[in-house]
Amino acid sequence: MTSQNASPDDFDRLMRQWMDADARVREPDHLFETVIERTRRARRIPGWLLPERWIPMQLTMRLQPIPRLVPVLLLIIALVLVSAALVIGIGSWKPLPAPFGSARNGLLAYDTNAAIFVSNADGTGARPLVASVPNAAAAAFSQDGTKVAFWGDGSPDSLYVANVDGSGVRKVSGDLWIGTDRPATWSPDGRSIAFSSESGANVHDERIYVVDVTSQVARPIAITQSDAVRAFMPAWSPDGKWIAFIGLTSPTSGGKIWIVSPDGTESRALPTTGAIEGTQPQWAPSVAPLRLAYAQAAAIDEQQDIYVLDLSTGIETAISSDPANERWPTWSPDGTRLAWLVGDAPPQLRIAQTDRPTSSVTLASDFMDNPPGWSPDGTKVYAANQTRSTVIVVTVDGSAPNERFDHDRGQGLPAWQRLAP
Amino acid sequence: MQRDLVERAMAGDHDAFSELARNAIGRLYVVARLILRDEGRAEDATQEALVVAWRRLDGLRDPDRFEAWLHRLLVHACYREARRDRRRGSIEVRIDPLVMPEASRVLDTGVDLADRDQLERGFRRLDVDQRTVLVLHYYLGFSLDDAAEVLGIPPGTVRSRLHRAINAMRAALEADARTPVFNPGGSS
Repeated sequence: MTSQNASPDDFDRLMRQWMDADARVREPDHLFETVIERTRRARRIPGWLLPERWIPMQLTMRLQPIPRLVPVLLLIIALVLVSAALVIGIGSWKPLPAPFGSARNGLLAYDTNAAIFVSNADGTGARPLVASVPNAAAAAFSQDGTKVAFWGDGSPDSLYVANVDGSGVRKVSGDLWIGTDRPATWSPDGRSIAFSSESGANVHDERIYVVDVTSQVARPIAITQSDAVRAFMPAWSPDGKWIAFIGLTSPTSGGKIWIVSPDGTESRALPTTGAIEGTQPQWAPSVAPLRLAYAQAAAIDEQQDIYVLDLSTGIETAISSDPANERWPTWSPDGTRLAWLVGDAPPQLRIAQTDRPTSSVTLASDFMDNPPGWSPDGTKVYAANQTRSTVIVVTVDGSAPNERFDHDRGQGLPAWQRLAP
Repeated sequence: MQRDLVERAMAGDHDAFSELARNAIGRLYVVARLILRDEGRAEDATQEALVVAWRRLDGLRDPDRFEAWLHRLLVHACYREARRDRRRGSIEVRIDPLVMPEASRVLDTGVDLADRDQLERGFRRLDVDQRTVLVLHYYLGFSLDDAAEVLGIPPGTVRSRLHRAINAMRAALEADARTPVFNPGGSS
């Protein structure tokens, strides 16, 4: 009998015998000691942080019959609690627009000819936001959509803030050397802005700074407990407690993601498993749990794939591992989907539910070739083309054709204003 | 006895966990090695599964399901290792059989050497999903329900995945049989 022409029964027997024979090995002697050593040093994750403690799963809990009285009692308790919360909270509730979640689409901002322009979402009504700041670039709307931050002046650079109608322009920090064209990142409450700056032109020694918008005092964030020689591309967490950034341990090494508290008292490298290049960490718009999306490769200069790290568990999940290079993941406003670009000829736009990443859809991106973003209402994804002379807007359900807004070449990335829903 | 150890380990008793790990590590390593076809990566996956088990033990709500839970962690660790392999582009092109102790190469297993090499090559052509379901079925003897629990997918999906894996294995063997042997020396 040979293996390729075996009958089903013979094939089964052959497979069992082969595997049994192949399994006649002992584990290496040092393996047990290594495991014991590692577990002795490893910190246990508290049960309340583990989702399997909360979510019924066949593996981790045996379902018990629930007495019928219990749901009724729980419902009554819930109603009482909700009523009490309404009574207590009705006087103090402030009707501020939600800082996260789906919102209405506001203005599109982009820079062209060294000036920030805004337009309606359909590209009409384009007008300069601020005319008085030379070399303005890279607009970033505050989370509540009322203000916009941008770079200006040029070599050295300054950080400016203005109201979205173009009024109230003020320089909040100067003498900066912005080694990246990524925008600054607002704190969720809109009071501070984090950014990275070099100490001189092309010195490649970026540090993270936080500036108070009101006092206009900028301070460098000391990155303790890390050996990052370059720290850049900061992104403020939705709970306001952390700033994630890319840190390099040598000027040319692959990056890791670090998080640092805004006052710099606490920082650590996250347990990502690969090399991260040129991609700003993307916080999911939720605080329970805090999650980050990013693209990383097994080693620098290799193809990147898309990952999500759950900071509460330290578990990294692969969202996509296409053989083509994947980059620039961005969260939908409701935090359920990721969009990113795949491949190079031309790049395609891929969108996936993060809880069902295998059910992704791939859309023609119309030559998007810069980090994409979602429209605040979550129906569209937008990005600039390679030369940053066109904003491309893709309707994710395919119900409308792609839109393209051409303008003269810009420096920074486009941004979309959020309006209260 | 096992339940008592698991409960003590869940309460933070590292000695109890060590005992559990000692009992399980040989089997875990063998399963990982069967799936990954690489001793070093099997070591890594086994280590990873046990370290994750210790760290996440509080998430286990039914101590009697410890074994199944551990297998699930191992399968996940193997998937991660296989993904790294794919990125390095190495595992799918390596066709050297694992180095076997000489004693196990003798024909006391009912599988002759030619079949063994052919099976090895065919198995390496499968993706990690297919290799895993075959190992669960043929080596561990798991039922569809047990395999579904370990893989975190419905039993019907396990059945179809197993069916596809068997077909793929047969196809790989047939393809292998059609491939002429490259003989650089020109003689047998």
